[in-house]
Amino acid sequence: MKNIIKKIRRCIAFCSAGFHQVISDRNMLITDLFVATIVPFLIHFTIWSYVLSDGGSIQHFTLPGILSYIGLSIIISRLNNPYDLIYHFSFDVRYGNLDPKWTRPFSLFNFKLGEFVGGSIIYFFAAICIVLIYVFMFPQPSYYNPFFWILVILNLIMAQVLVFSMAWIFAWFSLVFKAPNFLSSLFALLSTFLGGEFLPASLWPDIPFLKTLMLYNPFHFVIGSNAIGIIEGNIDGLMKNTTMLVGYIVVFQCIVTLLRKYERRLYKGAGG
Amino acid sequence: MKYLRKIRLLLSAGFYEQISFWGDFFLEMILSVLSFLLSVVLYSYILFLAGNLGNWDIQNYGVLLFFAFFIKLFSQSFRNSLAYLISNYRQGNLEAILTRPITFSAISFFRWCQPAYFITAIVFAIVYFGFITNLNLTNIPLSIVYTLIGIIGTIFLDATLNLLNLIYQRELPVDYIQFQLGRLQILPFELFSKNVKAIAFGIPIILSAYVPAQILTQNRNDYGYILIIASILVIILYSFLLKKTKKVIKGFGG
Repeated sequence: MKNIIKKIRRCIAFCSAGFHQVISDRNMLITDLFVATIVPFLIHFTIWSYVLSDGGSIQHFTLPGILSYIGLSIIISRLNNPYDLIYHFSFDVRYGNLDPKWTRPFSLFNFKLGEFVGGSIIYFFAAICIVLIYVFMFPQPSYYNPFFWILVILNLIMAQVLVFSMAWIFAWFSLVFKAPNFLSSLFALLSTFLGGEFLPASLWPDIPFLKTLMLYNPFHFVIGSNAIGIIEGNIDGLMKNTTMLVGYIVVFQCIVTLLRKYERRLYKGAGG
Repeated sequence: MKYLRKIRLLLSAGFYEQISFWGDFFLEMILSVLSFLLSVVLYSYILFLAGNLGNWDIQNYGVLLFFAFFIKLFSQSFRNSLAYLISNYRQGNLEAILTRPITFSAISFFRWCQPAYFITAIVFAIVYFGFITNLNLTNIPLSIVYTLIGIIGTIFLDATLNLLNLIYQRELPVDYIQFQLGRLQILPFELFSKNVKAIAFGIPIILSAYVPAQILTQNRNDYGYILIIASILVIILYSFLLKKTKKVIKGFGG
């Protein structure tokens, strides 16, 4: 029992470390919350209000529907942005800071996970605010169901864990490349294109392989599918999303445990 | 002539510094080409859904996307140089750097620049325009001039934001802000609302891809004057802030 309380305390400490890091870097926070959300939204607003200017719709998407989808997916992808993790890990690899971090009496992996989740608390509240605004504007029957809200929060948290496991794999490869540019931009590219931040996955043309890729890749369940589930108030969709997230988390955690066996062999340090 | 030689030395130093992580650089370039191709696919699909965007059809829009890609890659070379200078200033190393026989501006633009980016950008441009055949060859010089104006405006906007960081002791993430603003390049300018068009008078990066692409593909130049005004405004602001900076800088001689 004592052990469990100790572990929980430790988790909270990790989270608060991440939270305070984000809060102290106020300029970055303000830029991230305003410039980085308004500019992409402005682009999509301009394009889609031109494309759907005559009040038409593409498949079942009307103009307000697609704009709210894009607003939500932008804020969710902000929430799941592991740039700092990859950058700091590769910085540690390059300057030999990993040894002292490994000697700490807790696992570096858990520490980074706590830091990552704690760092996104503010964006989490921003996402919930946007969802609430949307809910008051376009009410759906399932919004009165508390189970729906539990599912939404569960999905957002699980998405964080999944993104962290994937980002850890990317960060691990900086033991090979030694520099972060390629890895972080690859992650950003994959999450924007596969996650459906540009275009809802169901709007892609019916080329068999492409459609399957867009509908069943892990990034889709983190960003696009979550956003659609929230907008449509679709409890079944969110349940399906949860199961897929669990499956992907298991898969990626297996890969992470495999890779972590080799990290000490690849890292060349002489004790910090 | 002497001055040019110094700049060439600075550039080659930066080049070797950057190329030392060649695996990362090489893969990053492949990735940026890949992201350009993916954006072409994506926007041609959106154009297929929409029919056209303003005056642009699929073929011309590809040229606009390429100009955006080119200018992003080119100005990336100079993005970090002033930021490194400022981090050196904060560590107290600035006087040691300023004793070198080059002016402050030359050091701030060229000492930490990453020339491998603009070299690859130029190579990509030659390869790309080798494949495109339906262009007005007579308009090439004019579009090159406008491209250069756009690049200079973009670089000076970076420098201005960095100087603001230095003077007011802030740490705005300049490269991130520029990256986000740079995403506005890829849209046809006539689609924007009036407010965004007014913002373009202060931010040259918004029009930097549109104007040369329009000259090259449609033989028209609707918004070139905004690009020129924006670039001149940014350069005036930069020189004003530079004067102010020299009063602000304090040190003990390294």
